[in-house]
Amino acid sequence: MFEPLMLARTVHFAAAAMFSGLTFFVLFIAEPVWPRALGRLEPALRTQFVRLGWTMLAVSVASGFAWLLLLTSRLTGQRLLPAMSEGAVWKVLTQTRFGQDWLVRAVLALLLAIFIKRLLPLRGWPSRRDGAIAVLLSAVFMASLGWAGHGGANTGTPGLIQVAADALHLIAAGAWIGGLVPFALVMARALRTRGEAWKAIAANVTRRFSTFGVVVVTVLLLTGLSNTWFLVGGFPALLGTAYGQLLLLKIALVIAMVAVAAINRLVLVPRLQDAAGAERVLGRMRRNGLIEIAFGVAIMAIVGALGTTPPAAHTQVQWPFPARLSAAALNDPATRTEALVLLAAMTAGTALILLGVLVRRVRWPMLAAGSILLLLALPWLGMFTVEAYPTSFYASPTGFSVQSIAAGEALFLQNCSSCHGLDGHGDGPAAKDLQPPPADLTAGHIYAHSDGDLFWWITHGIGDAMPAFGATLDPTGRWNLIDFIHANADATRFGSAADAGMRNAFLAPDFVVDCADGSSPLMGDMRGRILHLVFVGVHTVARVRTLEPTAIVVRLDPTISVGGSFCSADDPDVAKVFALYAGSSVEELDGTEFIVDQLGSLRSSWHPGLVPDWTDPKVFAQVVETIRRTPSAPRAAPGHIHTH
Amino acid sequence: MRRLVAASSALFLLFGFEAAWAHAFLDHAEPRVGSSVAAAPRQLSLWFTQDLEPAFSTVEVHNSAGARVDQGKPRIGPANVMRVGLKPLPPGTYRVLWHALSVDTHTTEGSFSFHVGSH
Repeated sequence: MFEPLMLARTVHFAAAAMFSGLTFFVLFIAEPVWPRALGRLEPALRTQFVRLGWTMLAVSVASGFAWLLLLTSRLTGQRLLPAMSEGAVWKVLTQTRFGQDWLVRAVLALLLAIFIKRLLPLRGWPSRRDGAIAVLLSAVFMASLGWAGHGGANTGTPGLIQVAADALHLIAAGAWIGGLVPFALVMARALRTRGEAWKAIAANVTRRFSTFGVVVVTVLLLTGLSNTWFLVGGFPALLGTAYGQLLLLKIALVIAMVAVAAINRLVLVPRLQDAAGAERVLGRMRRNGLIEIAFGVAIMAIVGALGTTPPAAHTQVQWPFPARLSAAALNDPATRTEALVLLAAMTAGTALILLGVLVRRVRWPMLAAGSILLLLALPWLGMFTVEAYPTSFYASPTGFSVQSIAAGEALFLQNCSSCHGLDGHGDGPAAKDLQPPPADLTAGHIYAHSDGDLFWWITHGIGDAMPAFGATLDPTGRWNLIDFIHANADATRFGSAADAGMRNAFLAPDFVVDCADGSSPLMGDMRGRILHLVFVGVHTVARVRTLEPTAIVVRLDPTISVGGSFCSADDPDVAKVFALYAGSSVEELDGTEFIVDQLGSLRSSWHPGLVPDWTDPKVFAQVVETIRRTPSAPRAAPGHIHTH
Repeated sequence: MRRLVAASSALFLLFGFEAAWAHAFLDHAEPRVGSSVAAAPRQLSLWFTQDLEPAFSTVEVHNSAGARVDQGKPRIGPANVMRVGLKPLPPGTYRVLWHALSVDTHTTEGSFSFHVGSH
């Protein structure tokens, strides 16, 4: 865990934060509250501040060099010394974003070194201009730490938002954590010097630092949420990935820091007024400052580790609990009333307890009543959970492609159909002796289970009846099987819904088409417009002449030439899978047409002989218009976990 | 912590990741991953999910005998595309090995095959 690169990164982050925090502390905390009569920082304290600044700058430069060399050695696969001597460092410096960022930061460090004396002049305080420049340099010194990080690697608007949020987050974190060291130094000085003046300084500095802290913590919270959204992408990922768990630990440490700061401000500052205990209070404030610094350093170490851990949005989630929350009880008419009563009882119980906490006069009766309500509700809470497995939140890597569905169908016939039946209805020849009986894989419950749940059952089996396939099918095979199960259940429903309702949303299987302009997009990449798929075989070639140029032609026979500007496909898997939805054989698919709406749902199908006649342009335009006006979102397409 | 790392490493192995701490993933390729193309392509294009560092990102294409059939240094263009020219390819199976450094200084690598000529 503590590899040298991570250590160099952690030390560099911490030193930069300490330096930047000193600048913010001097200008935003110390100067505004310092007694005018004193006119300047006490010389001994000033010397400590100057030394702190030089030390942190030196440490950040040294750790910056270490980071550069260790990274170069890792990128070139060379040991440290050859990596330094053979120009690789130069290549990293000049030809990578990290290197450019590094050079900018080196220049910033030089400028900051020049500015330390102006930030902490021997007499008085820095001029307004010097102060502004010092704060700007320190802020950029922190912000530039994020340019070569996770956020910097994404393109487009999300990338820009991430970079901006990262920059603000770093500046705020530096100002807070870095400000703690000079804060502790002021407390220590107040303790040593004693006297009324120092007591006032300690109280005012703490008050000012708390106000500053509220602003800083708000910024940290908002930007942190934004980054969590982009890099973690959901609550399960926060609990179920290494990245998410490190992040939770970091959030817990931040909460602890805020709690300690709150004790300083709310409990200790008012007590400074007592002449008797002031000394002890100052001692505790200094100690609390040191505790906060320790938390801050731990946070920096976690940041170092996070930077070398793949963001949760890119890894599979390992769900750590045997159950997960589910709103299914609210949607099922049989349990809805019960679920609503339970929700109402819990809401009322929580409200009563809150009331008890807030209103002293009715405290105990309210707390008691609220607790009793919650306790009564407790045994029923299982209603809002369903069983979950470590793989429950796994994302399928397949993209619901026709290739994976077709591969899944072959596996299904080999491994599953003897029990679950050829069509998945749970009525295979081996079904009748099994206890529990094989599930009907076309029934509604299939839609209630996550892909990850199905993955777990296929991998590990269920009870004695359903065998485990983890050893016989590789993960890709199991995901393919899951795609086929979904496609099969969808196809069963599509057959009866296609002509009548047109309100149903079935995720359209995805495939690559070749277009006249030489591009070959996935059909899923063409979302946003209505897609018209036409399956053309030897009997219906003539249909091509009447098609609008945006139609997608699937050639059932690769020797058929369609010409024109169509995007087309001839992969046999496309026909195989869409025949499933048409409820026909591949041969009978000749002439069949489908419409996929702008959200990617397979909405309607037609084949020659059916009325209304889609080959009549007026009729077809009307069908398209109806679908365009009623877009229907399909279940989320399996994610893009990249495996190649 | 060690258990965590072990669990996530196992996960990566399970899903065939070839490098663990990794960020620029292959989104898609032309010719497609695992595809068969009738005519020999003159270049290989790889689309990645994040910006790449050209100086430290490479790709090699080998024929079934293990000989290099690419033209050497890849070009990296906008939209995270890496392209490399190919020598004239006779029918056969070709293996692509890519190695990418994303701008956040993390490396990834992977491989896949494509086939030229009829099945």
